[in-house]
Amino acid sequence: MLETVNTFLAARGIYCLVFILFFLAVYGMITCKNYMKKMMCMNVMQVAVILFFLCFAQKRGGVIPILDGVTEAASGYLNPIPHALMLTAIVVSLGTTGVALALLMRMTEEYGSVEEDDLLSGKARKKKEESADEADEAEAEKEAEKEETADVTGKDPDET
Amino acid sequence: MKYKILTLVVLIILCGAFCAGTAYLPEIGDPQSVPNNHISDYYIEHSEEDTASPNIVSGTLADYRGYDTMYETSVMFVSGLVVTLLLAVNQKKDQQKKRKYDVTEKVMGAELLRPVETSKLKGIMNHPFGGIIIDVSARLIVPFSMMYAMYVLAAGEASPGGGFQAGAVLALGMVLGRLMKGEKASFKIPGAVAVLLAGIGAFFYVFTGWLSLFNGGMFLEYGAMPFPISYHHLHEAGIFMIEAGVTLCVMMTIVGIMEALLKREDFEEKD
Amino acid sequence: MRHDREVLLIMIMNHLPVLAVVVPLSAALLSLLLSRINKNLGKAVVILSLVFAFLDAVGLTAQVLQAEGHLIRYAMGNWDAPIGIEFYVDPINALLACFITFIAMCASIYSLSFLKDREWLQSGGYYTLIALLTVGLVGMTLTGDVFNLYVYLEISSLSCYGLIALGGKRSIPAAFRYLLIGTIGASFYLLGIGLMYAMTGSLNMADMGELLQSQMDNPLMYLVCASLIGAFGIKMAQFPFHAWQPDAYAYSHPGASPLISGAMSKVPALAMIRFFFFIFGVQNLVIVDATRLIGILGALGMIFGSVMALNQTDFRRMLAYSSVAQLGYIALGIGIGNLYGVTGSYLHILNHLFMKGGLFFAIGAIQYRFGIVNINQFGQLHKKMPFTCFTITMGALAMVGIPPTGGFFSKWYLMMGAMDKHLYIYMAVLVLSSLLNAIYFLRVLEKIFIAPEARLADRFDKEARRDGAAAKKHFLEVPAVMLVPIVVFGIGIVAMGIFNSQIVEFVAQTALKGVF
Repeated sequence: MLETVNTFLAARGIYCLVFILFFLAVYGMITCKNYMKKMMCMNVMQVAVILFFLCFAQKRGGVIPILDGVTEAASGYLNPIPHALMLTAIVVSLGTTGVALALLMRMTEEYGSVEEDDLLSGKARKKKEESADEADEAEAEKEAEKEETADVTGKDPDET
Repeated sequence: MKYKILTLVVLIILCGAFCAGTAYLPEIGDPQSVPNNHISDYYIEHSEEDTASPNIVSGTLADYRGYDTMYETSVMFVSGLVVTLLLAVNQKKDQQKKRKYDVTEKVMGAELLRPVETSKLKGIMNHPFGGIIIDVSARLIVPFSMMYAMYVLAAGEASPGGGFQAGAVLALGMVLGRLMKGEKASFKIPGAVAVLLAGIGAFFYVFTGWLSLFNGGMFLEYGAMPFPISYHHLHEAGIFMIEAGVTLCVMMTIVGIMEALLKREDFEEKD
Repeated sequence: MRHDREVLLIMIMNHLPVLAVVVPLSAALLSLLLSRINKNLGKAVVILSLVFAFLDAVGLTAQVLQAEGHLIRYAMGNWDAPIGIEFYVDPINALLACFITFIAMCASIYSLSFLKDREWLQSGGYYTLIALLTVGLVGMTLTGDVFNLYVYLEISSLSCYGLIALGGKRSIPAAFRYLLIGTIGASFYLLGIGLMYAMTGSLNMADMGELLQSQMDNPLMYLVCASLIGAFGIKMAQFPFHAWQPDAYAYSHPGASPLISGAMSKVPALAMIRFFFFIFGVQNLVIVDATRLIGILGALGMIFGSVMALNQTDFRRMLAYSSVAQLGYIALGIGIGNLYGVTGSYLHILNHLFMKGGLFFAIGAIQYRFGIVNINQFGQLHKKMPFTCFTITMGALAMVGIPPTGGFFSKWYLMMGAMDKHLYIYMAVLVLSSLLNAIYFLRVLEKIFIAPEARLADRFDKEARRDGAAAKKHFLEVPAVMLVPIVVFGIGIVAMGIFNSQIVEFVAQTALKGVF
């Protein structure tokens, strides 16, 4: 029994585990209500993809792809391409995580919360109205302008 | 709840389909599998003569697929830039925060915030932390880590290592010093300037490509660079040049991100 | 001297594919340094590099149309195809690269007025992001390597998140949501190419295409197709995956939104066409199934997007939902999957780039001057901003599909394609969606031309009041740097209609003939 499981795992099981990890992370990203948790799930998902690629590089009895002067045959070295590709993917995921964290910090500052429910419900919107941002500021300016014109003409500008 | 179950069902179906598909994927560890044979043998067999790099991953990353790595470096730079743009310099926020920071000073042209009294802030990262033990041990670690980074950079072409690792280890020294000494760290770079330098590091990579282009080669063809040395050495020089650019870019991006986070780290505490 | 110039010219001619991306990339990386020296220098260098990239792309299109077999392959680092990375230029992606660089050039000029009084880091950083977004998009269209496409996808996405987040407070959750969903898309893309790598061991598109032909009955192809539909569907905001899109388009930085909404979603659509028709080949059963699924999703998206757009009062959100519908047209063309269908799809990519770009340029100008985005406040706007309203009118007519504009012809080709394949239900959906388009766009025109005049806070009046006699006199409705792109796009929408037969004949048919 253990033998069978071992052979399965060695031959193809790791793929299955990687896919389960991947879809678990996607499930977490969709259902978690906290943006920070969503971001962590995103990282898990990226790691799953990296592991998936590294599975292809494996060769039984292979050594790391640095010429050591002993191993002669090409089949003695691991496949270097997935490693090179995944180095790129790791850097990309690092960059994505950095940007996501910066956005989360800004979100905490602007809305006081990173919970999706708070952001969508009135609680965050209430906070939103308190301070002015770029788009809101334009509207606020417009309001001020309206008041000014109202003062000048002596009637409500919205009446038109 | 309904939508959670729906998501779960859809994802289980997808996951099942992918897991069933593994039956058609090559067996893990099989040296005769398709991905291990089509072009991978070419890289292993020709890496040394083509790229002068016994480290095949480095040779692949920096030479055969060097064009990808150029954009990878740019991705690093752009993430540092976005973080800095979002966090470090935001004049609107500066105005709102006048209660806490009322002095803005110009450091190399960038408007940076200086807290009135550092000690009154709740955040920990702006103060020096730790006592004499951490201080002394950091003093020991920093120079050696920096030297090690240089070694990793120089040896990256022949053994495990390379620009990304070297940049990260170099940045470690700076981050450590900054955390130990807080605002009083003797060697610190303003976030905006750090991102600027990261851009220059990434440009150094592109510049290597331009060198070969102007000398009549294809883009990033190290063999065509205008230096009077052999093909073998040209490739070594090319890989070293791009690794140096990558090192500068990665180090400065990390420093830039750290500086950007330090400028903002105290708002989490407030109400 | 003259000799030198000839040598330089020959060099440029030989390296057109790579120069189209490397010149803006260099400018982007140096933009911060130059901005540090002088604020205007950084902007000027980026704009000049984008102008160069546009001229370069035009030259590339001319070159590829004369080249043997209508194909240019450029090997990076002189490593030939399956070993190294190559650019694979054919007429359809060269022409799309022209359009992308053109809209990027216009957007960079247009943004000047939004960034007039910003610090060096902000203006330099903004232009860096614009240039890197362009680099990513142009690279995605031109590249012939699947993993290189992923790197370009990420670089364009990251700069796009940045540009969206710079749009103010409400844009931050939008950017974050886009980041999450976009990363799911990118990961699915990686899964897809991982599976293809497992089947072929290659990363080069042409090589991979050849090797895949013998394995088309492998069940893994279904997973590959599912991954790619998910990946590109998310990136192009096709119907069930569009959730991130309305917020992201509506709240992005007004200077960059024409580029984001115009070009960002079109490139994955072209990548989809390249994968399904050029790499896999449409004669295979699994691809027929996959394209049929895309077509059904596209048809649903057309109806859904149009109905949602009816419901909006924010002009930007309305345009964003209309984008969902318009991308449905593109997907429908892929789903029809014959020569006419894909030609219509390709033509609609180009047309929609112009229409949406022009409309977002126009709403940005209205926002700049009056600070409004609500349709109900547009009353009698044509008196105050005649040129902007001209572009809105042209864009609206093109969206509905009135003959002299480009929108008519792409719908015409889609209709012909559906007719050829006897897919009458698609024709019905096309007509219905056009009707819905007409309803919500004519509502906007009605507000502009017929509704009573709204009292608006004019930015120029405010400046005049603030500066008194010293105030600048405004002869134009908005600063010239904004007005020029608006007018150019207004005319471009009509020009696309006039020159559509040339595009179809010389570009689309030459490239697509080999496929069908």
